[in-house]
Amino acid sequence: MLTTSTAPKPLIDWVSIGKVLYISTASAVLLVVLFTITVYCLSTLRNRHTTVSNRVLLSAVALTSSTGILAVIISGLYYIINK
Amino acid sequence: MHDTFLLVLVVLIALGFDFTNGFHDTANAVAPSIATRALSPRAAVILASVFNFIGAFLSLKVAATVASGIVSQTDIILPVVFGGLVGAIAWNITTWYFGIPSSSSHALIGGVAGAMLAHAGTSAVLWKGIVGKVLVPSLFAPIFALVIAAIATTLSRRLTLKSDDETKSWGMRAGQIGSSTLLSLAHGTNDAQKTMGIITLALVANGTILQDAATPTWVIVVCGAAIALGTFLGGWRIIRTMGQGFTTISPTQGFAAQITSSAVILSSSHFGIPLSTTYVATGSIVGSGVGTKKRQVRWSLAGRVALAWLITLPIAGLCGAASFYVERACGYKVGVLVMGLALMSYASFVFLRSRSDKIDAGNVNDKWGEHHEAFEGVDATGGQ
Repeated sequence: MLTTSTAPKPLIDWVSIGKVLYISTASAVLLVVLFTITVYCLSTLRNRHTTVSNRVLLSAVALTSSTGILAVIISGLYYIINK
Repeated sequence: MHDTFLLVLVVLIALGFDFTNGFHDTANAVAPSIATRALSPRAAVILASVFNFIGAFLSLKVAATVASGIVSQTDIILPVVFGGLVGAIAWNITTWYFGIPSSSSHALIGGVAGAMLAHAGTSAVLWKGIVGKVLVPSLFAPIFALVIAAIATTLSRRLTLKSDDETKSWGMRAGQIGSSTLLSLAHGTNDAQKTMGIITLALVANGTILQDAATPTWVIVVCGAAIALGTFLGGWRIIRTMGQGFTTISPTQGFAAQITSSAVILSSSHFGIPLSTTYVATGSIVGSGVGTKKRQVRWSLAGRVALAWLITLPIAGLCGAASFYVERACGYKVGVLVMGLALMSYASFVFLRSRSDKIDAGNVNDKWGEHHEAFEGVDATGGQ
């Protein structure tokens, strides 16, 4: 006869705590770095001596990092609400 | 046990707790934004209250943990819930008066567990749930937040070394409006749920809903509204401690601290861990101070606050147990009225006393005064 047994739940849910640490570190550091890059690009763009080619490059970086910020926030909230 | 009179009183006092929760924890979401003047004090609390309300609708996992993971649902009776809430509110009011950012969640869980101990003994308290879901995460939460915020602040500071100060300051302040909004949403998601869990527990105790039933929609709506109203009124005393006390917050630090707090709170909400948002927010603010070049943190203040954290659970538990004993001695119906009146009298007394040393939107950003401690090795006014 086959019997099934379920392991008792551990007192401390280390897996969930580990996931909280991993997800929060990754998302917080990523968001802060991306936003800082955006601010840095805007700051440099304001400098009158920045060349046209650099302006194009900085604008592209700022746009990419802003999109990244939005993507992290929207996907994070979507994951929390729907999973 | 069906008693509509008691149930109504328990729901009212639970909403009262939710109100103090919002009032007490406004600082978590808005203190850095107010300190850096990214938002005016009034605008900050309005923004926070709106997003706390919205956040209450996002998730119910923490509510489920509070409703079923702290005390035995089969032994619970309404006066126990009432007694626990009295203990939690009394502790919240006391810590608010002294400007201490203590945990409303721990006050609530301690109060209910204490009242339950007085009612049914140790077997009715789910120690495994309290240790695993409350104590251990609360030990890790502020440390996680401190370390993550320190890393984020250091990275942000180093990346913007060559930026002009004006644009950096403007950009980070703008970012703080977004991060403050996200943090308010996270706070509503995590904290409003705790009262939802308590009201669900009361409905189960009264036999109004079945065990393991979902939280009713009206409970979600009134809890969201109560925490939003409390947030709107703003617990200025604690905002001052968090915004000016621990460290001198620059826009870069404020942004890093708020993003860190949001990330930790939202991810823990997702896993159903009822974290103390206050511990996370405090850890983040202290961490943002550690991430500055001079590592300016008032560690003596942080130590005193940590001491208050240690005694929150036992003191709220004692108050909850005492309240339950009084209710039982007077007869439950008279007892809850007596304790309700006693709590209102205490709240009025503390409020009147606070008027002599009033802190409000007008003086919340005053420099941490000379009568307070300086940063270790730095003058009293600090500076970046």
